[in-house]
Amino acid sequence: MAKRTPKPFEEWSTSDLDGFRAEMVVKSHHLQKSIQTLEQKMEAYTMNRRLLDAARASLKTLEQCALESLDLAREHAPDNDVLITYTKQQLERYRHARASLPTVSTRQPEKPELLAMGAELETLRYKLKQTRQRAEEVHEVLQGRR
Amino acid sequence: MRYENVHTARLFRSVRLRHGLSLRAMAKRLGTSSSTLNRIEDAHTAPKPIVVERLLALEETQDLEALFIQAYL
Repeated sequence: MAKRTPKPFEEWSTSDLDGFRAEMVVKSHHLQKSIQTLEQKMEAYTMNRRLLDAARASLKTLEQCALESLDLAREHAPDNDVLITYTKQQLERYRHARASLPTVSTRQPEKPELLAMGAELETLRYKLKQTRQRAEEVHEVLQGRR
Repeated sequence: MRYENVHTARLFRSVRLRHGLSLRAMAKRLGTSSSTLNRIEDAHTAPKPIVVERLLALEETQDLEALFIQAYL
């Protein structure tokens, strides 16, 4: 079936144009809100990953330092049980903390989902642009009549 | 308490204590409420990105890793 070509706005009645313009304004508002929500979700996801990555890197550094300290203690103070035990405890503490970090946040989407959100964001932005453009076209026709 | 927030909670508490600030005073500096900051420090909630950015601004750094090291020490 052939696609029907919509009537140009110039052929619409003023009340139809008014109604359509109001509809486009409301639609734009909803699209803007959706875009804002999605942007905030993506920002939160990115920050969460940044925090987890920084925590992991810092614990790895501390673990390495503790390991070196333990080697030094064993080499230079093999009879100092207090020092060796303390250093071992520190090492275990950092290892345990690092192991407890989630590889990815359990509440946040995986990277492919971030990409999907990005694609959805682009679609919403495109729709918003189209909607605003139509509202503007209708506004111009209405202004010409008044 | 949410498990994935534990490390961030520690980071926030560590920075606040290092500055010698009360929950209320710190919350004011971070542009949030003291109850929200309390929930962040108790690992009940994750901070909004803007709050993390303000924490970094307070510390005059972008090096989150260094801040975490101080928090774990």
